[in-house]
Amino acid sequence: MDAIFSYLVSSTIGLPWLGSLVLVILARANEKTQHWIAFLFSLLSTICAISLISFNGPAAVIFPGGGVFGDISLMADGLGIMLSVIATGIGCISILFSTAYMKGEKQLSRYYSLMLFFIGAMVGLVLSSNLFYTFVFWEITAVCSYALISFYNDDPKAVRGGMKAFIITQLGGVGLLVGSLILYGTLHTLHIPTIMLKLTNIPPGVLSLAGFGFLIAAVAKSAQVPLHTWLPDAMEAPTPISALIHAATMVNAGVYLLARFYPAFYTVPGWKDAIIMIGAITAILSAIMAATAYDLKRVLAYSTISQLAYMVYAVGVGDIFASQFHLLSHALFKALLFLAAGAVIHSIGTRDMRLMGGLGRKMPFVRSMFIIGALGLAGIPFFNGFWSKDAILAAGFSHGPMWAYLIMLITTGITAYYTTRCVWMVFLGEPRTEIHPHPVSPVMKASLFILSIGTLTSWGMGGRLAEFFEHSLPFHHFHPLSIAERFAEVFTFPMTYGTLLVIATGMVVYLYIKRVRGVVHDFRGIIQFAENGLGFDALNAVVSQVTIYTAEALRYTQTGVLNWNIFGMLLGMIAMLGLIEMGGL
Amino acid sequence: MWQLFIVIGICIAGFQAIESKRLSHSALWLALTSALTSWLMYLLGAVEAAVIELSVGAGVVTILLVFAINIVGDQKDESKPLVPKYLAMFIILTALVMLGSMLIPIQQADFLTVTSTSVFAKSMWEERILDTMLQIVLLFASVLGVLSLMEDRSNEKKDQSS
Amino acid sequence: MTLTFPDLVLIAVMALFGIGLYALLTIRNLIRIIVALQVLVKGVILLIILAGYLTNQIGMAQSMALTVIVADTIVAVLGMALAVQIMRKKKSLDTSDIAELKR
Repeated sequence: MDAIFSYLVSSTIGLPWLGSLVLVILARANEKTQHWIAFLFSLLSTICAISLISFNGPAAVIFPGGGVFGDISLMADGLGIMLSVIATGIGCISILFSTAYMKGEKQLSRYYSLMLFFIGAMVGLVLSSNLFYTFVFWEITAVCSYALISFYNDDPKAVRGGMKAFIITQLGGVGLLVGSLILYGTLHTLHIPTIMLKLTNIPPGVLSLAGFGFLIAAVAKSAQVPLHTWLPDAMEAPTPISALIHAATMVNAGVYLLARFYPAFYTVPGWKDAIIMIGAITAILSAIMAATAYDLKRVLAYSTISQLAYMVYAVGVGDIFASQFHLLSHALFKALLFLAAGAVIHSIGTRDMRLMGGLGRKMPFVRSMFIIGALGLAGIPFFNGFWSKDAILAAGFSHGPMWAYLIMLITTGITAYYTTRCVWMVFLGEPRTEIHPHPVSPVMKASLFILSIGTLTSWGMGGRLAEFFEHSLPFHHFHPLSIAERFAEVFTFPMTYGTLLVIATGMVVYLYIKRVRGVVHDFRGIIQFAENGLGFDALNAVVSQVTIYTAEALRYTQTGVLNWNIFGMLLGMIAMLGLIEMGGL
Repeated sequence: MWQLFIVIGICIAGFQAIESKRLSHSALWLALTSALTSWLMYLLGAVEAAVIELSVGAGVVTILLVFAINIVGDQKDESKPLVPKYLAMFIILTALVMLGSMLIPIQQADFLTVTSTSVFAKSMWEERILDTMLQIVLLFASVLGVLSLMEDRSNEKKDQSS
Repeated sequence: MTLTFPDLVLIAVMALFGIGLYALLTIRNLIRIIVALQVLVKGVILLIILAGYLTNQIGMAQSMALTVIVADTIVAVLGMALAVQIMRKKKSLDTSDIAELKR
């Protein structure tokens, strides 16, 4: 049993990596071979990941990893397995979609091998129970994200977006590293379950340092305010990449980290409050930005930030299950939305929503799929987004501060507003320009169809998922509810109807504003401000300018003269000697 | 205490090696420094290392230095230092005082009575065989470096003759 | 206070360090920099041998010193080769004349 298990775990990571190597070697093979080899490897790893579910409970595979950082241990518990199924499954569907979307593109082997490399690293990140290797996988995902955002590397916008994403997520990497090293410094281990057991040995100040280090990591990786600006710019990536990395998997790594370490840090004063505040502010600001953007993919990017903020908020109010449940729902419906948007962009060749309109008549299948995803996003009953978002709001209502709950509730309304706006501008209404869409290929339709089934049904797994979590995560203390119980709870809880009312208001408001042009005119200033990213992009520019000027100023210390360089080395040596003499080393 | 004279000799030779403006004088003073150092090493019991230091430091390096000086021309270096002399002396004295204040107590510490019979050949060819192999590779690389020096010289001669 | 033999060696080491570092700080001629490096490394070798003498591990210390001698000789030889090439190209051995990486 153990042998099979360890084979399965290693091949969930190993197969995509092997596929990535094979594709590098086959860089000159014909295009079709590359498409299907990539698909084959991702499918195999998906099968491995799904079969991991049957190993009910935490079990670990250990590879020797040297004496310093401990062994490479991969632990398949509820969180890890759910996220690896999402990573491999959505990865597989994205690759399937790519076989049509990327047809005829150059350098396919680079595209697919990076994608497969990313999938393997993402699975490693969520399964690893050694913080050091978590960090390594974390950074691999960042590198893949950078390389795939800049996939069209002759487009300066894509290159800049990739660099921005890389630099900002590096801030998060530093946070994770500092947090891990602080834990290592006090406990002398990086094995997560051991850390959880020995938490009482850590002095409170040290624990809070580590907790806030991890929080920075999560904020940067999951694109929360104020480090969210990389995600909209990451939309220069090919659309299947946006669906996989920037909606369904990598951006969830931050939420995953918070959820994983919630039992360790929830006692830290201010940690939960900080998370709630970041979640609430991010949710509403990014929803406002989504409501004013005109680029189809940017709308989806901002809505991703906003939905991630819901998950972060759920961790803050202490309901890990709701957070992870929403993560699952969001991965499905957002991947669906992105891929449907990709199909639209692929067939008409623009991302500007002002040029679209009335596309529903020309591509009815894509329209239905997009609307299913949009209903999930808006939180309409019986789509998966409704159940998970409602669970988060219920937890926020009973355990969180009232102001944050109200913000989240308003955000629900804005979500419904921008979702309606997006669907209307793209698929409904009158055509604004002469557009002759290319037909959507059957492969694209198939991948959209699979995801739409997921969006319609994934809520049914809620009960099983909760049980699985309770069973395999001993430190989190879950209270699983079966489907019937959840059904009863949701529909007897009065605020559910309040939420639905807010959602309906959001939708109606859009339809009303559309008729009355004057309203838009009155809010012109705010809209302009929101279109410019609410000033966060300007903030980024200031930071980068300051960095550049500092570097220019420091340039004069680089004389290029050997003697002065040696002078500097001597100063360094004196500093080291001083440290040793004071007993610092 | 007669060894004091060796130490004084090392100081004078080392100082002359860096102070004399003519390159060839510099090389000769360096050879003397090396020879005196290897004498001290011999007195400390490091017989094999002393022999190697004498033959390599005082022999090979000096010959190569003279050779190189021959190529570039035996010039007098009159350039003024870029780092002010007193600043240089000050910072070096600081470093040395700090270093010395750490090294002197170590000399008298108790743990220095570790006894282990360590034989040069054994440690060289058995315990540190990997290092030795690496050194051989490095030596080979340096031979290649010298060869490149020679090759360029012959090319230049051809250029001049043609 | 009487100076023991190890004390004397330590003085020699310090002297060699000081002389070598001072030369590296003030000298600009490439060949003389190689000489200065040699002087500095003599100090290092002597210190290693002294440590072996004091801890009764002279064999180990000798093999370490040998490694340093090898590395240092290689540095010297390659440095000379470079100096010769640079002299040929630039007609100068002054480090501030040949610094090309600075703005």
